[in-house]
Amino acid sequence: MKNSHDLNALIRRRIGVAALAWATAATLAACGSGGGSSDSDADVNVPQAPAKPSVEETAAARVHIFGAENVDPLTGEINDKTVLFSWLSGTTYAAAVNGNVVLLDASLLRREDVPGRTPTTRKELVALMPTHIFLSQASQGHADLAADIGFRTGATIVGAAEHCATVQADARALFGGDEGASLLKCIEAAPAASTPGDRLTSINLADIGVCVRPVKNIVSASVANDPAIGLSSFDWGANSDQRDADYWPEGEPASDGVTTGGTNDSPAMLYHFSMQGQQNFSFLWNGHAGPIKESAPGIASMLRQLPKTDVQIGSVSTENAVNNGLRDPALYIANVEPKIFFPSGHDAAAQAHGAYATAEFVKRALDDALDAVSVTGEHRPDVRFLYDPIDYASVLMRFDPAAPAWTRGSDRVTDSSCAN
Amino acid sequence: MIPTFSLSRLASQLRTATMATCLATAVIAPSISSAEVPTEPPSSMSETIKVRQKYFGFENVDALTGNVRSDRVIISWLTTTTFAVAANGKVFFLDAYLFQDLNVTAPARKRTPTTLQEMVDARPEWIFIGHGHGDHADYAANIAYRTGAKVFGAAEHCSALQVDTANQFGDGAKISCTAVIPEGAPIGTQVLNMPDLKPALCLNVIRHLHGATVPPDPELPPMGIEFTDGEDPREKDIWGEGPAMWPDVRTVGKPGGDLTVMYHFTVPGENSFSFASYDSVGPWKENAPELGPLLSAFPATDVLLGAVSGGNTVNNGLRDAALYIKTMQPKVFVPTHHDQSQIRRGAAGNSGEFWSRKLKEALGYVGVDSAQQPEIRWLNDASDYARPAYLTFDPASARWSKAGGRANPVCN
Repeated sequence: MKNSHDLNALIRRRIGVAALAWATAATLAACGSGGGSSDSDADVNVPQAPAKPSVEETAAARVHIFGAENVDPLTGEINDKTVLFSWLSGTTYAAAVNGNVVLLDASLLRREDVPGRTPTTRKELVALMPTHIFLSQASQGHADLAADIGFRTGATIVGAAEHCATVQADARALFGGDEGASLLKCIEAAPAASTPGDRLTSINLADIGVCVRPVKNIVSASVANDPAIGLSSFDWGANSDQRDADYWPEGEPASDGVTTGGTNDSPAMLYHFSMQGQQNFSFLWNGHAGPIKESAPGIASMLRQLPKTDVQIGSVSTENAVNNGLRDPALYIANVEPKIFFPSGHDAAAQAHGAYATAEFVKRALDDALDAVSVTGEHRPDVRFLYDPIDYASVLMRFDPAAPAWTRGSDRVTDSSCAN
Repeated sequence: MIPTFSLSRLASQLRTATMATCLATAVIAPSISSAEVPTEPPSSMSETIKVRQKYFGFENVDALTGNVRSDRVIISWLTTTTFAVAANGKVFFLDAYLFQDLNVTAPARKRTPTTLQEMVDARPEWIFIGHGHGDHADYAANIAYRTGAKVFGAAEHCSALQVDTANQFGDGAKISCTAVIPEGAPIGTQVLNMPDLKPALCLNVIRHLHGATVPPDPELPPMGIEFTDGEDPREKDIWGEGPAMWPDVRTVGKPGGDLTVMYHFTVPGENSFSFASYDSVGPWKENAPELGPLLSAFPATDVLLGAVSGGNTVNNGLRDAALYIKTMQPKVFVPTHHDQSQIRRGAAGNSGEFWSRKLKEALGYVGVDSAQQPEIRWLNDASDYARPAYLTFDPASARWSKAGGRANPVCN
């Protein structure tokens, strides 16, 4: 087991202002106003990063989130021969890629100071020591903890330019003005005010062995019933598990006040990840499923141009459910053509409408939608549904990136050079 | 990935003299006998690949040969105590029964997501029978006869299954069945380091005891629970009903109905990764106290698949399961049988969260505090049926190292 992420070195390292030069033309924006950089412990003018979690804390957190079988309990090193995903609620996942932890969104549903129905905490996410935090939107429910975790761990945030501005503002609010914000690193994966579906520059994250292809996305919205599809509405508030409140009584909301000032006006992003080297494995994560058919057909075109996707983790939470069922998540699947699909956001959507543990019904609605948009036969992914809360922080999503099964004759061509 | 099991080899084996009668009978027999018993051999290689991908995950199954990767142990719950297992490339079943294998008419949905035909198409090499009751062995003879799978059980189980075979396929029809425990062997009889599965796997067995009701344990706090406790009232609306798919595919169930055998498998290798299955949980504290020390001295078990429900649940909750865990000391415990027990006794189903908490409580009562408890990887019905990713294990993981812990010395 090898880990390219030396925990002890991380603990000692002082995080300078981000001015990193990436191998590709990806834009790296220093979100803070401090500018400059320094690795010198003696430079008193450089803002001080907070103390990192101990190795023991990191090891314990990683064992909990990724499973004892996959993590060295003493060092926290993660099996770098395995790609792991762990659902943390909503659209937030922790992933382990080449032994490195990345977060996909950074928010916890029903967040408390101690584990509750959502079995993890802000402190535990910090202890994971992620290298990167990818944002699907800089809003509550997606980015509440991004600035905090980025500040405390040195993780680089990846998002649209607007996302970087938001987490910078969050850091100012949380950590004392510009000085705190200056410690955040943020890669602008999409320029400000770019158009959904625009071609964006790939990001070569060579240090974690991944090529990232960002796509400007849209958030979910309701549009008129699509007569060509003919799906009936799906009611997020129906079929609640009445036992849930007894099993998981409402706890005290987290007392730390950490949140984001971002709003739902924030643009949306999705990301395609290709493993580099000899591993022919790729995954795509979309934290939003908007009505691309009516509002942004360019996104569908862009999704079809992406390299092959083995695993898609996609939001099935859509405001359009009232008029078009789960058509929109199904259309993302239709255009991405993954081999395996995992849902996200259905827990938050149900709870926003007063219902709990409705995954079986969401699963069936997605089945109906996939039928309706003609995702059939070999194009139909293996839909592996996730049930809340029992599948939070579970070992269900573990993949061998070297497995021959990820290569099929019908696969799209993958550009391993990470050039667009 | 170096497959160690070849379907073509299996096909060759099926052509051996032992199985010739079986196949010949299958070929000439009508597809459905007059007693409504399916008799066909596995459908096709493509169906075998398809169902193995379903049971074990498509990424773990060779799309051309159907071989399952040999560097993982993959366990797929098929209901009650029946599991499809792929270990070191070998495909086999623990027990052979499907709960609620019903003929459900669309658009209603069948709660049990597999069928007898799929179990046949999976082409298991072995079937291990924990005890002889119908909810563990109903499909054993049928699958064994149609696939050539070798059955393992107590001598009494083999006797009963030969009767089942004759009943379903005609006088003279036989299956291959190996008695791992001799007839009349008492509780506590164990056989270690059996050669039958080598070199792929090592096998240990021990006779234990079937579930039974005993009075509430006076040494422990009250913990009895009803089978309907914790049920999900939505279940009856979610899943369709229908008649049994194969009411005539059943076992006579005796002799050996309640004679129970625990199977313990080890994957040879540096860590000696091991897993064990017991399909009924008996009150050995009162009825067979000699069993406790034997289980405590049994070879190390990394993953324990164990029944948690039985006749004693109403009086003593999950105490008996907790005592099996206390003595076996697995690193991971996986519950079984709770789905069928609850629904059969009137619960709507899906009460996993309630029972999971009760098991942890029982573990505390019997002296296994939270720091000592294994990882409990609870199986929730119906969402965890045929969900292999949940029970996929890498025998090479350092987690299974026996250094400094309980030894598993008999498989080298």
